[in-house]
Amino acid sequence: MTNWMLVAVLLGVMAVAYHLGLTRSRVMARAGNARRAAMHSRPGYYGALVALWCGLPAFLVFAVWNIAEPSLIRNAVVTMLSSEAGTMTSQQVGIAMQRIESIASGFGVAGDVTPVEAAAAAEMARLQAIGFYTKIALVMAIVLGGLVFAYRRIKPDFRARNHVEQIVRIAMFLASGVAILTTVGIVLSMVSETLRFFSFVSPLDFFFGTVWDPRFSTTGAAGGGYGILPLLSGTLLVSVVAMTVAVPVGLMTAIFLAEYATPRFRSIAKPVIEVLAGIPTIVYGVFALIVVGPFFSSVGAAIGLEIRATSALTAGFVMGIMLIPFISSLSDDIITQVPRSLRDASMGLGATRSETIRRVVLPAALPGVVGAVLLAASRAIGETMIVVLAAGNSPVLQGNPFEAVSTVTVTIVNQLTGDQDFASPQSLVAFALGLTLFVITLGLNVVALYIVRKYREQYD
Amino acid sequence: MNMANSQPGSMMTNTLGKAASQQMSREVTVSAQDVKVYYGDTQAIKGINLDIYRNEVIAFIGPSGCGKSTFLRVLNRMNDTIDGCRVEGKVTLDGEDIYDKSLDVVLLRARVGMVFQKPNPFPKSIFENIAYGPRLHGLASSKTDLEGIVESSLKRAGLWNEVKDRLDQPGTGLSGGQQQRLCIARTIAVSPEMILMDEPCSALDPIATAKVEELISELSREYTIAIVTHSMQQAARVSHRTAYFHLGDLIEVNATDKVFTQPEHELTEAYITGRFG
Amino acid sequence: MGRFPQGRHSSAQFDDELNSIHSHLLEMGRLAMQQVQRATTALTTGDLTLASRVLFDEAQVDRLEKIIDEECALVLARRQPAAGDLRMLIAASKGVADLERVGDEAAKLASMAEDNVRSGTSVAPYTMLHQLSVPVLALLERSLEALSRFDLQLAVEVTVDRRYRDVLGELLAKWPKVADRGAMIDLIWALRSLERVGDHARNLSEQAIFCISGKDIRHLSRDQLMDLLPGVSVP
Repeated sequence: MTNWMLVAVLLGVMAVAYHLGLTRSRVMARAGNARRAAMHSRPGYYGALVALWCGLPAFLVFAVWNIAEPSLIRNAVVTMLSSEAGTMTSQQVGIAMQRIESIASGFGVAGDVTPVEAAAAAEMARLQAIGFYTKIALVMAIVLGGLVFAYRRIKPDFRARNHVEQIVRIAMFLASGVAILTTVGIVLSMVSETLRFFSFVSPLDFFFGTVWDPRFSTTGAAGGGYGILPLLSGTLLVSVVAMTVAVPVGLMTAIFLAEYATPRFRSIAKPVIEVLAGIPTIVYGVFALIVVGPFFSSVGAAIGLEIRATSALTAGFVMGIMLIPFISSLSDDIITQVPRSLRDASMGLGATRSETIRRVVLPAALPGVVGAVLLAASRAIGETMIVVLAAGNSPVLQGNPFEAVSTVTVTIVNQLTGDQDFASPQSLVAFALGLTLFVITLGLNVVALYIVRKYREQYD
Repeated sequence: MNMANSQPGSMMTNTLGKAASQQMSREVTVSAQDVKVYYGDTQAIKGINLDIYRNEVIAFIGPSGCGKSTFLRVLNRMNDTIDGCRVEGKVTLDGEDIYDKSLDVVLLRARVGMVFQKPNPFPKSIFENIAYGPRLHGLASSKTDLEGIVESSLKRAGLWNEVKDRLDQPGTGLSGGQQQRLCIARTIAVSPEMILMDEPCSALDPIATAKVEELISELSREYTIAIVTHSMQQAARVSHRTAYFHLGDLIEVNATDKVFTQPEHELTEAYITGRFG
Repeated sequence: MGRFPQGRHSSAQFDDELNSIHSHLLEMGRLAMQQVQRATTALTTGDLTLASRVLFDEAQVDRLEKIIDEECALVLARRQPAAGDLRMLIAASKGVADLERVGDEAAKLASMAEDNVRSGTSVAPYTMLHQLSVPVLALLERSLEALSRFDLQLAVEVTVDRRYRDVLGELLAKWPKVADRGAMIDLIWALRSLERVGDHARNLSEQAIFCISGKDIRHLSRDQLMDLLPGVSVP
């Protein structure tokens, strides 16, 4: 709470600093007029630079302090506690510290307060108070130092504009760093967890095992089969079904929209189709489970085929519908990007519209379309909700789309839901599965992006 | 560049002398009568009458937006591909009304070829670029036949010696000027009667432009050519007659020599001497 | 400046270049005319100073010729002129040649005057030159006037004006008795020079007509001329 006040004060000081810089540079510019060229930069830049010098270092120190202070105080109190109450287990220390913190902050605790606890709480409160005032003093000192330093640097030939530019550049670099570091962090943690999993199950058994049966075991030793192949085959089956639905329908939609539809129709149809992409996948899943599955089942019965209500077919079909806008929208963009001059050339040679599309537009757009299809495929592989609900969750290695299957994503969900010890192979396998999935989709995306980019270069 | 002349067997050297291109016969190929074109509500062309004679090169000049390109596109009905474009009046090709309902547009475009402003080879091999049209219209009965068409088209476009060793390479890999001559060769490959050129050199450097211009005068022995150009010097160099368009009207059509020394209309004079606007 | 009947170019620089050629041409014309006038006076009055002045100024005429030719070449190379502009350039570069010859004739007369003064020849027989120089100079002046104002009517009138030839005929009919054969030949040469100046003036007008109307009227009969230039009265 008091921290927020400090932040508010800081911001206020920065505003003042901005004005100081602004005014000083203006005054200087007016004075400098007589002799030679005025200030190097516009007054705003001097203001901004003073404000940044004033605020940025202070904020940094403030943040570091806030992160470090609690653990420092805690360590001091723990040291004092152990010297007075003898050695304790880490669990006892944790409980004691929680009580002490509550007492120190004035919340009060259940039960009587022992003298040792009271003393420790008092010590903690004292340290916190010292810490707080020191922090304010330090931050304010830095603020003033920065202010004076930057203020004095304002000279006609001081290139404030370039300095601000540099600060902005660093800020942008740090921002992009956040995204990259997060990705790297996720990958690293997945890799380390996967390695832990491989200490229980050999990679050979994992990648080439044909049985998926991760039995529960309290001993921590691996039991049952951890073969990924049944899951991959399920994933592949569902994805193939999905792409079989999505690619032809999506592509034809794209061609129709790009080449034949009147602008009016296109302006209505395109957003409507794209709405499909906005429907939450859980809705698709429910739709698959309640409508599509039973429908396929009854159709199968009518023509003498045994089709499970929850099957690779059901999940794949609905997923295919979900992917239609993905493919049609991307392909439509790519087909419209084929230059009009190529169409004109073909028409000018006496080709009909469909001949032009078949012989010129599609071949020219093909790399881009392939890219779109690959992107859609990587989405299909990573899709979870529809498959959880509609694929039947049967991790068996088989190739019949009418049967229930399970996919990698579904299995990850299964392994992590319920009461599980996160150190057991049953849980850790989720990381191995996740990493495998990540590598597959990453590969597909890289290939797709490469193809799309190569295609783009051709016309621009 | 003078490929055709260095090839004794090629068609144009013997059958048609240079005289044919200079002394044009007065046989009318295309006749436009009171042609009006509308884009939606705006009128782009206001009633143009123009006869184009066999084996002549006629240049259409005029300031931007004067309707010269639009009129060119009337002649092979390329305007049909533009939404909201409406053509009135009568245009005949060898006496046949090309806007008649019974006429097949696709066949018309094979008879009246078109070369565009920007070289637009298909992203296919050089061979396939030329073979595209003949394949569409079934002009070749065998592979050898097709190869013959490709070779003779490239020769007539003066490109054969430059590309004969790399027919399987993409047409988009050629230089701009070569690409444009490839596009011309592609047009010739379907044996049109007439070739329309819409600012064919505006994207080319002067050397490539000179080569294309040379090609145009070679081709005029066999084909009727209508060319839209922004370069008055180009019109003066390559054409037999020049038509000056202004705000959708045809102001003046005359022998090019006359238009560029003694234009009849003051608008033409103002335009070609650079006194416009 | 807007000197030309067709109006201004999009490029003002182009206008300036053409205007410069036009005014240089007129300047050269006026100078050549002055030269003829002074040379005739020098010859008829035996004025040695005037004669050497004419010979000195001859360089100025030649200088203008070079300037105009250079300007024409530059405009041709830079602007690829067409129609009226092109005709104006062609007319200018041809007209320059005529004016240069006018200057040459003046120089001839001037050096003749110098020789006469030095050899002490009498100027008496030469006074008859005045009778021819008046119509010839008038013709040259009108020709320049037509060129300056782009006046087609005036230019046509100049081209068909052969009165100076009649004057020459009259002069030859009442030929004076000159004892000295050399002086007689000189006198004939002087008349011949003035006649040539008249011819050049008419040539200049023909160029003016080409520049204004685009019609080439050289070597045409009066009837053909009237057919070619409807709306112009041919005297």
